[in-house]
Amino acid sequence: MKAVDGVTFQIGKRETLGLIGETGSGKSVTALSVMRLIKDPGRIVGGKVMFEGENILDKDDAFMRGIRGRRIAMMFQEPTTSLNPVFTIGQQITDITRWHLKMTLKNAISDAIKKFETVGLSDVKRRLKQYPHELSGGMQQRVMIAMGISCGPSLLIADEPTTSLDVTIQSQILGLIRELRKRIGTSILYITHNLGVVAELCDRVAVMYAGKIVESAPVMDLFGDPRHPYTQGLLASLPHYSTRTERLRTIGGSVPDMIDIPSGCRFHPRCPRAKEICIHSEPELLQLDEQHILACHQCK
Amino acid sequence: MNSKIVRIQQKMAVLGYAAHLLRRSPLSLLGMVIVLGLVLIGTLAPLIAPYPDVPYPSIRLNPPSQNHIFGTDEMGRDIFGRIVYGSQVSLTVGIIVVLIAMSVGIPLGLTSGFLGGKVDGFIMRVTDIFLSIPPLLLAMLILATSGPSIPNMMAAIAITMWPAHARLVRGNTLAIKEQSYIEAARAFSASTTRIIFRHILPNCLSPIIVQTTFDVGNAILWASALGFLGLGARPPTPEWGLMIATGRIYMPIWWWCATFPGIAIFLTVLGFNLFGDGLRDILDPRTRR
Repeated sequence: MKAVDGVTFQIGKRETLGLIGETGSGKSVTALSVMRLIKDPGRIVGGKVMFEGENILDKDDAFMRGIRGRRIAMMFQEPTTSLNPVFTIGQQITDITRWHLKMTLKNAISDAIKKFETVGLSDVKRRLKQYPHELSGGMQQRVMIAMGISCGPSLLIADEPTTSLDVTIQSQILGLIRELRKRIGTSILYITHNLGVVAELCDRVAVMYAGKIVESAPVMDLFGDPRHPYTQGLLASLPHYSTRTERLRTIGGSVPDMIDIPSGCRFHPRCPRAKEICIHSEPELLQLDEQHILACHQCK
Repeated sequence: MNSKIVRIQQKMAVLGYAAHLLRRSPLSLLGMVIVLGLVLIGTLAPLIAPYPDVPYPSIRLNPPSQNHIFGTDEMGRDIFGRIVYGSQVSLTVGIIVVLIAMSVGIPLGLTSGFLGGKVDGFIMRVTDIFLSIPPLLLAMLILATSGPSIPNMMAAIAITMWPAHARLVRGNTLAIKEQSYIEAARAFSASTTRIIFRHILPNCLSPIIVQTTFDVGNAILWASALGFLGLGARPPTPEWGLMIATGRIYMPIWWWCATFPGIAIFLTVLGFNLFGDGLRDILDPRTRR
């Protein structure tokens, strides 16, 4: 059973790539694979992960330990459960900077103060001694962001960081990410199922379905001219001011169980344009034009 | 400066809450009083005992009186004083035994639970072996081969106690390692050792503390039992179990020789058990505010 089967994407320097997909499409697994955090009995079976010119799949554990948290950092979906409940947030962030950057305790503490101020926490000196459960969800996520950028990573992987937050906080966090991105110049892999966030934040977008990437394009191109039927379905299902009185559009059917994938094009059971060929052969990812990649038999 | 005051206030709030819980349960308060009293007596023993632990043949087997509140034993020694000195022996034994059991059992339990697989299987089979032998028998076997003495007795009791710690910690580890913050710690490149000792262990502390408290009481009980059997402390050490063994033959006429040490053992173990119960209630996350 392959949770991810055929995913190819690139993220350039200072670029933000959005990875959209429904639950079960393999987005989180892809992210974990980049950091080689897949747990037994799962494995990475093939392919390459090129980071700054090197294939990190070939590297040993010691190398990966130097990378994780330092040059590639990951932020998780639920900040509440991603922070250790028995340590103060000051201890948790200084743990990271002392380990990776070999800072002394004193330096780590003043660095932590600066980082927490950067992410917009108030009353920082007092907060350093607080425990995660004493903070609200939004504040916890800010702490996670601070921890993520603490070592100045080249790549930040954000796995649905605002999904568990309410909309106003979400907007604040997105603003924070935008600001940090400008300041630090990190590339971001932003995983979400929220198209609005993607439109606001990302330079390019890749759409995943059932473990494969089906379309990828710069954000304006994808939203302006979606080619893949799945992408079109997703965009059409967004509620719009003008369609207030109509029924919301949906994509019929549901995401396939990865143990029992449809033959040929994985989307064919739900696709309004499916033809004979779609049932039998998997479409390849083809270059449509300069930036736009697509995997569909019916869209040429 | 302000933050220091806030910190002190926070700590007092925690203590106040603990005191509140203890107040609700007068028995655990009693337990705590007994344990603290015991520690106090043990530390100040030479100041409390009215007479040195030396035979006075002229006052053998005197009943409890103003001069000797617990009477004297068959060698003319003041029983109250011997009980006070005995508390030093018992406490030392109890604490050292539990420390040994913890330092063996906890790392093994953590490793076993975290690594799983063959390591886990192996360690668990070893604990199975130890748990399948009745503890008294195991201790007797060990002491029969190594010879009775207090250090050997401590080792023997510790050997019977470590498997319980290992199992307890292993269970907690299995639950904790599935938590998200462990995955997050990995994402920030914590090594296995670091995760085990810095992330998992602190989250298991509550049950460990409770188990430890019960274990000190149990260790003291076992030490007394082995002392009674002559496998632990040797005369003339003022060990409570040993005192019962030697005082037993003077029952029922000179009842004070065996009775008071017995009461001491009883109160001590009761105190630790009640205190452990109280701690368990305080540390239970469900009773947290």
